[in-house]
Amino acid sequence: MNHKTKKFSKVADGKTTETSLQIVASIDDLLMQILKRVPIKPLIRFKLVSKHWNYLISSPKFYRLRNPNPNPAAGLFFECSTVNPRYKYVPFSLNKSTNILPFIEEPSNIRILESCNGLLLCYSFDVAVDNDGRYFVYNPTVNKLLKLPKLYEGDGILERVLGMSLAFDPSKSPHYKVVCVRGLIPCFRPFKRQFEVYSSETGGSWRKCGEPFVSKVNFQDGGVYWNGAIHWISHRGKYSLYFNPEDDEMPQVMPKLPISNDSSSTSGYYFGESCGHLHYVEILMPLPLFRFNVYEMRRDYSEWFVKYQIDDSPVVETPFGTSQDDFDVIESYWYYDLSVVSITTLVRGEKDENSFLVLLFPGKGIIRYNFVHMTCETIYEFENDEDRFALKNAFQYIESFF
Amino acid sequence: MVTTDEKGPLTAKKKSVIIRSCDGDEFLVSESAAVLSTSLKKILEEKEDRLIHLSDIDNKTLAMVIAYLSTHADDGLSDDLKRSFDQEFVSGKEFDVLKYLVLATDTLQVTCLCYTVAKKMADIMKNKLVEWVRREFDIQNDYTPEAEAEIRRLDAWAWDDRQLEDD
Repeated sequence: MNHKTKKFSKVADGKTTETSLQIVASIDDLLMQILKRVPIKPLIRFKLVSKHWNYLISSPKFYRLRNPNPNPAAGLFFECSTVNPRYKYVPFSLNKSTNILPFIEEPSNIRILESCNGLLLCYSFDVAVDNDGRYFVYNPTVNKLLKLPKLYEGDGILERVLGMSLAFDPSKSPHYKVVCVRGLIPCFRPFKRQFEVYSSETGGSWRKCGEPFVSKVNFQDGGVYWNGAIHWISHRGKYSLYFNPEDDEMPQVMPKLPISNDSSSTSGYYFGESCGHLHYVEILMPLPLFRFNVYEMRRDYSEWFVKYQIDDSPVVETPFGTSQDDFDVIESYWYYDLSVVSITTLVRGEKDENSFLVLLFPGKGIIRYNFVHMTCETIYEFENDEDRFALKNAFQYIESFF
Repeated sequence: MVTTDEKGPLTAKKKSVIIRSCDGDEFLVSESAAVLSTSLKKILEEKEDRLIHLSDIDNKTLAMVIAYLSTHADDGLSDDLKRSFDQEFVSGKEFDVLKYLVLATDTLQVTCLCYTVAKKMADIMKNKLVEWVRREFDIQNDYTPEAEAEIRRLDAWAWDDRQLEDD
C-alpha cells in the first residue's frame, strides 16, 4: 500500500520522471483542493512544510482556486477622526465579528491612502519615522507591513508627490507595483507630471516610467486599479487618465461620463472597483429623494454605461429614515462639514442581486442597499455621541495572504 | 470474492459491472452507481468489458468508494439523506484512510466525494504542527534552518497562537 503515500510525497521530492509528470500535476491539483479548505492561519504555516508547498500556496493558480469570485470585499476600514481607535472595521455581514482583524500599531500615526485587492497603501505621519520611507504597504489579513524605498529626490528634477497608487492582482501575480505621480520643476503652466514605479518583484528603488506628461487630473483624489491599469477621475468626470505600469506607454484619457454638467444637481460621487468592474456613482439632488446613477466602464474603454439607476426611491425606506424632521439636523451636518449621505463603497456580487452599495448616514449609521431588491440593511449603528460623526473615509477589506 | 453492493442482491434487469481492486478483490456494482465516477463512465463507454481492473486502489478503499457510489445512485434516497450520509461517511475516519480515499476519488473522478474528503482532511490538518503534516504526507523538510527562520519571521502572526497538535 506504500505506493500511494508515495504519490503525495513524489511532489515534495521534486524528483519527477517523465512518466510521473502527469501524476504529479494531478497530485498538485488534489493537494490544492485540500489546502484551499484550510483556514488562512494554518495555511500560512504550511508554507513551511516544504519549498514545493510554499510554491503551491503562493501561486496565483492557488489564489484563484481559493477565491474563485474575484476579490470579494468582506468589510470596510473606516477612518475615524478619533485617535484611538484610528480605524474601525465594519463587516458587510452582521453575523461576523467586528473585531476580527489586527491592525498595525507601529509605526504610529499610520493613515490608509488606498485599498487594492487585499493590500493597503499607507502613509505615516509619525515624526519618529525618518523622511526617507514614509510610505508602507500593509496586508491586514496577515498583519504584514513593508516599507517602500525612499523616493528619488536628486537634482530638484522631481517635485512633491501628487498621488500614490497600488497595482495588485493576486489572481495574476503575487507581486505588486506602486505608482507614484510627481510634479516636475519648473512649476509653471502647463504643469508637467512624471510617473515613478516601484515593483515588489524586483525590489530596489523607484524607477521613472514613461515620459513627462501634461494632465489636469487631480491625482490627490486617488487612483483606482482595474483592468491592469490605474485610473484617475476628477472634476466630476471632466478630467480622467489611466496608466498601465506594465508598459511604458503614455497615459490615456477615458471616455467622458454621461453625467450632467450642472454641478448643483449632484451631491456626491464614488469612484471605485469591485470584482473586476470599474464604477462611478453619482448621488443626485434634491434630497431627501434617494436617487443615484451607477456607471460602469467597458473593458475595452469604449464607453461608460448605466449599470444601475435608482430613481425617486424615498430615503424614508432606509432604517434611519430621512423624513423632513430629520432634515432639521442637516444644519449640524453642515457644521461638521458632512453630507447627509455618502457612498462609501460599491460591492459587486457574481449576480446582480448580490451587488450592493454601502451608504454612510453621518450621525446615524451605515447601511447596505441592494440594487435588485431595493432593500436596506443596517450593518452598523452608532453607539454613542463620540463616534456619531467620527467616521470618514472607508477602505475595502479583502482577504489576501500575499 | 464477489461482493454485491450494499443495496442487496441485484435483479436481473439491472446492468452491473465487476470492479477489481489492486489486491484482487472483485466488487459487483450496478452500472448506475459506477457511472457516477467519471473515469468508470468513460471506461464503460469505450469498451464492452464488464470487468474493470483498478491497479492503484486497494480493496478497503474501493469498498468505501463503492458504498458511496451505491448510496448516491439510489433514487429512493432524498438529497438530505445523501448529505447526512456524506458527513457520516467521513466522520471518525483516520487521516491515513482519508488520504487513500482522496487519491482514489481523484483517480476515479468522483468529484463530490473528493471535495467532502478534502474538507475533512483540511479540518484535521488545521490544528496540526508542520512536522505532523510532513510525516503524514511523507515529505522531507528541504529548507535550511536559516530559510525556515526567515519564513517564520515573515509570517510571524501565523505562529503566535494556541497549542498545535502533533498527533
